[in-house]
Amino acid sequence: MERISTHQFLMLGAGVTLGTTFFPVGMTVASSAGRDGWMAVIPAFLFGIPFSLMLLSLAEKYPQKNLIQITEQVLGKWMGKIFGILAILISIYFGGLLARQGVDMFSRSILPLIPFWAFLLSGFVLVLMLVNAGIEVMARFCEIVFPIVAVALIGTALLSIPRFEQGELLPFLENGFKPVLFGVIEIIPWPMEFVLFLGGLLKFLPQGQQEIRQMRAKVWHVLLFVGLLNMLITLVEIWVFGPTEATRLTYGLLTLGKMIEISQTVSGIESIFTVIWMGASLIKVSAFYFLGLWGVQTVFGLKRGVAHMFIIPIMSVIPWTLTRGADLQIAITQADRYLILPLALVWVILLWGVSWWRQRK
Amino acid sequence: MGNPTLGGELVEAKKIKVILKRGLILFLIFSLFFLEGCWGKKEVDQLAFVIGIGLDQGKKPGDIIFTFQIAQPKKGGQSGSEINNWILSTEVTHAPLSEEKVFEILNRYPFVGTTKILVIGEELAKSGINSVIDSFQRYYQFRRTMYMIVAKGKAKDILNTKLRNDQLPALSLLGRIEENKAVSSFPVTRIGHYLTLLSREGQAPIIPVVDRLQPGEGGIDYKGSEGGEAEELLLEGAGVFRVGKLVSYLTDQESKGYLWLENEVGTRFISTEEMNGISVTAKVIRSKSNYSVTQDEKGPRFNYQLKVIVAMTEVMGSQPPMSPEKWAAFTGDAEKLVAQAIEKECQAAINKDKEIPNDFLGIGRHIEQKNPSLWKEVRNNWEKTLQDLPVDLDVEVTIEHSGVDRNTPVSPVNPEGTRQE
Repeated sequence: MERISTHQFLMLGAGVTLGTTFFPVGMTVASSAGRDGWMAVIPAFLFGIPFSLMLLSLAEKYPQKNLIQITEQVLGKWMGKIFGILAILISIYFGGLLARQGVDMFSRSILPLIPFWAFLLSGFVLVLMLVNAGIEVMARFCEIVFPIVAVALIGTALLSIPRFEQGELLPFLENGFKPVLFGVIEIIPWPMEFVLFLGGLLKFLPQGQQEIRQMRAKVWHVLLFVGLLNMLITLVEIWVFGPTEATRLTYGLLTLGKMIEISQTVSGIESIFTVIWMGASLIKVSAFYFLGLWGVQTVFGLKRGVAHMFIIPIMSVIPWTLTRGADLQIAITQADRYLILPLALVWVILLWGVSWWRQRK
Repeated sequence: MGNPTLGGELVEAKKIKVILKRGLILFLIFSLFFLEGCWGKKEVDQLAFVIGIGLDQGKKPGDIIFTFQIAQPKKGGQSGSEINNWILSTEVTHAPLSEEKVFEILNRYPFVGTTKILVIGEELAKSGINSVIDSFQRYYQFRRTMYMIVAKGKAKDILNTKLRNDQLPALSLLGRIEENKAVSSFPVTRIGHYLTLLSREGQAPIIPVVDRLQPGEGGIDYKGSEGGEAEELLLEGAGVFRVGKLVSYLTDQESKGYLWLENEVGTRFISTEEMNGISVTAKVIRSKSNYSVTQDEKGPRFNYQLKVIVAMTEVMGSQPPMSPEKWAAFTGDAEKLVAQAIEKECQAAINKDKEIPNDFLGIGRHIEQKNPSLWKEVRNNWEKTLQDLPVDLDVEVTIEHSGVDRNTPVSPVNPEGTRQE
């Protein structure tokens, strides 16, 4: 049985939570909260903390079980199967959408002529290699890639300072807190993606009391740090482009990368960054593949190899159904809003609540 | 003892694994012969590196004339920096179509990722540029760091100017813009900045103006080739835009006033008017502008505060030798003179801002920043409010030093033939 350390939990959690959220974050929150959009990011990510803590407390009570297995034990076999099948379908569908988003990012920014199947094929090979190597290898991959992604994001933000528009962030809260609240609601599903993934990961977490205590602290670190990174990117996008332009740009971060000039000698380094963003995309797609794989293995009791045969065709077909970039943006937002958020909310609260109620009895 | 059947299966499985691995290695080696690189890959010698683009109104309604200034490295040049200047104009209905025209003529793909300068012809600027520049902010090769310039006359003529130093006009303009902080005599507008300002309610964008300079024009003379063609370009003043249309020009003085008020002055020289036969030229070392919005019973009031540190670089007029104390007093008077000169430039900009009335100074945006509730009250009738708005100016100048000397050169005999006191 594979196990990951608490440090690996931290890096894996951060890598999966961050994923490629830094691409749409500026556009999403600025469209709701205008120049105050950056204020919405951290509260939205902190929203995931109580749910993550609930899952860790379930892991403590039901060791070496994932969320589907715990559901079967607490709510009954059929409820476990229903939630399990929902989780499988949503994770495979969302993983496919994210794979398409990774391709979309490349097509729009640096390689417009490469057919998207070429990207998908090579991307899926990497995802399969990661998934096949196991969750521990994936965690190690995050230990290397996540710090690089974080440094690249911070570097992009710092190198964008010469492009800041004076006073663009002012005035604060011109229209009160309401638009900020709408901004928070827009991105609340993002930390819930991590919550769903954590549901599958429970089985592989360390089981000691002290380690679980450490992981409770690390959940805070994960969501706070990822929230800070996303807030930084949003802040910079609004500061450089202004709220209207930040809303208009599909991937504001890529445009920021194109604007970086160091002295008069270095420019056009966005392609270096794009390779790093590909690493982030790979982590996120792999995470949802893992989730689907664990789900299929648990619900249908299939062996790993057979489970792959179930997931690969569905996940690779989904990107083909979305050839329009504009449709992709809508599909991702809708999947987040109407599939991931409700599933994570209902599932975790219901399970934790029933488990707690039974314990009291 | 182990199970012989199980042992046999393990050996068989290992064999299959080895075969699969070898097969994979062979497949990878073999596939190298079919991989030629990225899709749509173009070699360097298939590309035409565009440095500047000029946009003019076409002859047919709705057409645009695209002028590409292409910097092509010279084959066999003595140094790597030697380039050929290729200029090509093409009339198209939509910006991206110009790419295929260039290819049809040059047999090279224009690579616009290197474009640094976008020159907009006067006529096109007056009819509106927002839809024309859409491609420049959408197409992935372009960068939002490109500089925008408005041409007096045609953009094509600016890029076709044969400069006396044989430099490419686009590169010459780029050099001046990038070193602008050293003289701070004209505003700088990148396309990204233009787009940001375009979306603001309380501020209109401005773009610097370039003109061809013939010998003897504008107090500048040079020896040109025969025929009297302009062989120099002058970057001076700015064009004010409203909803993407050029609506007015700023003079040199007005655009310098804008630079003071918008905190865009790096270093520059400023001369004062004569007072008691003495005038001073100072070099600005640092400048900082601030603003405040107040409200009294008469309504809102806007106030600019400027703090400028200068060094005296020239004192014109004859002065008697001065003691250090007298010199200190004179420096205090000179500070007032410099402040007056700065105020004059700023006031010219403020007057123009109210006169157009198109708020290129962003007074409306500043009010929004400082007092959002006041802005909500005045935004719907901003142009009228701007015309009546009292704008105060408070300039504080400090002469940090006066160079290596105090007063002007001293002669024992003054011009009238009497000895100096």
